[in-house]
Formats: sequence, structure tokens, C-alpha cells
Amino acid sequence: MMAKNKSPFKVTNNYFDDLEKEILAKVQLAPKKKYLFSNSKTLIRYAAALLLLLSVGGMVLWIQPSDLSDASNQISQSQTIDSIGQNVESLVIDEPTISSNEIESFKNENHKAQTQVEQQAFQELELTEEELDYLEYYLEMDVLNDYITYNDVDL
Amino acid sequence: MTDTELFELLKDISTREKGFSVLVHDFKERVYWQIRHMVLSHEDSNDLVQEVFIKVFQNIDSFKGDSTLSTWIYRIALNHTLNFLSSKRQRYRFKFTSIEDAMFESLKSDTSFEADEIELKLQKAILLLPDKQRLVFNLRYYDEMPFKEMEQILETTESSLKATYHFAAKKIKEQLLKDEIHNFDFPD
Repeated sequence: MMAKNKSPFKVTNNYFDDLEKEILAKVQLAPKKKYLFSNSKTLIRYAAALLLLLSVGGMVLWIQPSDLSDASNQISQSQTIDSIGQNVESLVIDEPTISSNEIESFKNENHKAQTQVEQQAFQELELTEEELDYLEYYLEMDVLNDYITYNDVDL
Repeated sequence: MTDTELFELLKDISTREKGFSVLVHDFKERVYWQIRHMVLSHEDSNDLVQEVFIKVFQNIDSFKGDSTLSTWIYRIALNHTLNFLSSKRQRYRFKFTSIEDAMFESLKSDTSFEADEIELKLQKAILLLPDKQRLVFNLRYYDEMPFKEMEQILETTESSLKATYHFAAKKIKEQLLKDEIHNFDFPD
């Protein structure tokens, strides 16, 4: 049997019958191909979703490391300053030894001083009757009454 | 059976096997000759034609009927053949002989190749063409495929295919002249 005109290639007489049988036998044994994506449209949809996720993730990662790096820079800078300070202290000043009683008394003194300052400031803010009259003259009575009522001001 | 009827048989899972045996019966010879003209060896062609039909069967669901069934099958066959030749060429990269020389030498000793001196020299000249040019030349010269059909299978323009074929024919003629074979004409 010959192919089309002019072809010098040949096959045996029953070759194509045998070939057909062989192909059909092999096809029955061949496993059916299974695709994760049934068609190209589904594949494109999944790829687009994945791309979107990746770009969002990328954006987040791109922004975050810059903030983190700023923070880490600040930390490292402060650490450097602290370490320099510590080095200087260790070189120049001997750390004083303070007892717990001394710390307690220092705290009490500090507290007293704070309350004194607060009381002084309050006294300074306290208005005399003349000053109140003066204010009353300029302020609306309703407003002043409201302020006195809602702020428990003792006159 | 028409292409549409065959397609209907293949689409339905219950009639698929019947449809496939019709498909193999209708297309096996043409697919075989297309492969054979490219790879020359009967053994390689026999393996490739079987692989092509298994591929067709496995991918039948992906065929949506955008082209004719024959176009789709020939496209699979030709791509499979080109891939085979490409991988064979890779294997010959570090050998002393070229793939073309090896193919020509095995052709000379092939008992299923019955040709005179002129035909042998023609095959030698065809082998000198690049794979894709050789493919276009073979489809036109041996299979007498119209350029319109070739356009569908190879997904390129008709004018480009005509130019490729004429360029290939010109190169073959020049080679044949070197081998002192004159007046060898090719159809348009």
C-alpha cells in the first residue's frame, strides 16, 4: 500500500487494520486525564484571584517592613545612645548605694512637695468676692448659675 | 459520518468509545503519513501515531468545536511530531553526526522506503530544510493539502504559507541542481 502520489514510503498490507486495533486497545488502558481546572475560563478566574491576593499581600509586606525598619532604626539608635551613656557612666560615675528607707523617705518628701504645689496653685485660682462680682458683672447670670450648679462651686 | 455527527458521538460519554473507533478509522492513515513524511522512520511513526490518538482521546473534553475535528487532530499530530523532532535534535547535539545525516542514513537502509536515485536525493534535499519549512512542504507536496486547510492547522496566514512553500521548493531545486538533477518541478 502506498501513501499519496509520489510518496516513496510504504507500509505492509494490513498495517492500518492492526494499527487501529492497537490504538483502541491502548486507549482503553490509558488513564483518563483529569484537570484541576475544567476549562481555560476557570483557570483564568483562579489565576486572577491569586494575582489579586498576591498583589495585596505584596503591598502589605511592602508597607510594613518600612514602618518596622523605621521603628527598629529608632530602637537601635536609642540602644546605641543608652549603651554609650552606660559606657560613659561606667567610666566616670560610681553608682551610689541607696537603702530602701532612704528611697521611702525620698518618695514621701516628693509627695508632700507635690501636694504643696497643687494647693498653692488652687489657692492662686481661688477668687475673692470682689473678683466674683466683677466676673458676674461681665458674664451672663444663666451661664454662671449653670457653671456653679454643675461644678459644685462653694461660694 | 460528518464531523458534526462524530463530534456528537464523542461528546456523549455513553457513545464516546464508538465515536473514537470511528475517528481512528477515518483519520489514522492521514495522520500516519503526515508523521511519516516528517520523521521518515516507520517505527518512530508507528509510536507517534499511537501517542497522538491517545492524546486525542484524553483531551476530547477540551475540544469545543471551535475548529473542525480534522483540523484539531492534525494540529495535535503535527505539534507532537515537531516536539519529537526537537527532542531528538537535542539528543544529537553532542554527537559527531547531525540528526539529518542520521535520518538520511537510516532511510537508505529502510526496506519500507522504495525509491530511485532521484527520490533519494529529493529526500536528502528536503531534510536540509528547517522543520517548519519541511512540514509545510510535505503537507503541500505529498499530502496535497490546500493552503486554506493548512492555514487552520498551523494557525498562520495563507500568504505566509505560500511564501514558505515556494521558498522551500526553491531551496530544494537548488540542492537538486547541485546533485545534477534538472527539470524537477513542484506543484504550486
